[in-house]
Amino acid sequence: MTDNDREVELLRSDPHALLLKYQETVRIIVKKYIEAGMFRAPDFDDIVQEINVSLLSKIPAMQRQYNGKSLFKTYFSVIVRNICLKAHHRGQKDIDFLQEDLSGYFVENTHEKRSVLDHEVRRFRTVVSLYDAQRPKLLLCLKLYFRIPMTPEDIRLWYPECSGEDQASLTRHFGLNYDQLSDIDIYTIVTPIMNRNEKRSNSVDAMRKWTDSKVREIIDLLNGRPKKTNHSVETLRILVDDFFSPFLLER
Amino acid sequence: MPRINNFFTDKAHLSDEAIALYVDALRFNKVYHLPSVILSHVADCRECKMEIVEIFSLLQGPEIDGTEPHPFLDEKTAEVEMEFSIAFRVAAVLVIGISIGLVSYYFRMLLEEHTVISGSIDTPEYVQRGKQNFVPSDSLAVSGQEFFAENFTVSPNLENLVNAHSRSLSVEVLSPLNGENFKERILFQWKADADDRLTLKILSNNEKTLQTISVRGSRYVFSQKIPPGLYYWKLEDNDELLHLGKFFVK
Repeated sequence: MTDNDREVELLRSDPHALLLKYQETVRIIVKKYIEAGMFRAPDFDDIVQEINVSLLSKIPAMQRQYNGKSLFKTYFSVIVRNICLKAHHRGQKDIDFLQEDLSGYFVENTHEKRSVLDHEVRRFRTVVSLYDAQRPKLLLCLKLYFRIPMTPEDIRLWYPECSGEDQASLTRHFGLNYDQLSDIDIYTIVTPIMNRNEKRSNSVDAMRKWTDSKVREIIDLLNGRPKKTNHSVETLRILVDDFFSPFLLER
Repeated sequence: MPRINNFFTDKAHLSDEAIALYVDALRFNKVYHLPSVILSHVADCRECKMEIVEIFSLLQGPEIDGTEPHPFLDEKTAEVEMEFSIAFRVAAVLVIGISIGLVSYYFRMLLEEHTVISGSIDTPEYVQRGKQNFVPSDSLAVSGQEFFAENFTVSPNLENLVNAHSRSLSVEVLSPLNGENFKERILFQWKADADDRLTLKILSNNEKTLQTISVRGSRYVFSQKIPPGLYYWKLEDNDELLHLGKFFVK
């Protein structure tokens, strides 16, 4: 019997004991949200107490809804986050929410700031991984958006059966510096190639809008809910550059 | 939070447990062990992406890290192996069945001195419905009765997304109505805000995409012959789900 099995059993037989066991997890989550500026540090004990009261009322729903497909620890963290979000919304008017401007972190090259950058790069990678089958196309479009040179590997990942002619065209236009090209120039070249390979008939403007909407979505996801950072197109550019850096071994 | 099965709420978003499962998959580096219906939903859903990223970030760090076997993701591997094994056995049974059919057909032809066999033929398309080519084969006369019921079994994952409208582009579907029965031609018709070319996908009840059609306008008549069964259909705009419905072919 694994730890998770024991916890599932405890949820059914003695949920109060399970809540006691998970007090440390509650406290860690609240600490993290205080660090993120979601709550005030002096309110720590009150928030933990509020979460526990709410958890007690949610026990029947948790017993009914949790089916043991995820780790209980993760499921429990989702429930605690939901409670924290509600508490945050209620107290939002009274709290001076920390609005960090991350662009400042990227200017100086100290160890601390590198660590913040690493954290954001990890978050960016997580975000990108959620696009599943759209991921290779998204990465290709991010390169185009930020005018980062395209490699044959990018093209192969996007569409393994891309014809030699299309590959040659893409690398000829976008393989080296192409800062001088406008969005219209870029999408006029790339859209017919993407349409041909994906058997679509998107317009140039539709392709541009698709990429723009994904960029906005990624920025929102990086900023989080509630908003914890002030990512913009410029800070996203730094993360994308870092992501595509040839010095990184793992992508 | 109300929900209609393990993975989705009645608002067509991932349930708390499914969010947790996705986060587990990221932490254990086993995203591709997740059901495809979860992967494709998240790829299209900003809300669920946000929840996953937030929980994943929350659980990062040594304090609440875990390395024990996963109740679903590790079991999934075993299930895949089991499914493969079952598929292999089913294939073997089919091959034997077809061989017996061919032999008996050969002897019948000898006895009846080339009498033409006519009438309806249950073809192996029941079995092979997951393939994209629907062209019926009349070269084999194999009973598909045992597979008939399976073709009408609902897909729990897709069923929960029926009538889901998950994207900003508003679509009002006029045909087919959910659960509508067809014999041959199937009319797909909708009203959309924009005039973009949309992608129509037809899926089997075991979630395999059978046809992908790029449609300009708001109407498409599907006239290929397809075997009886339950089918699902999706309307997508640039890989983003606009509508998911179902229909029956009798």
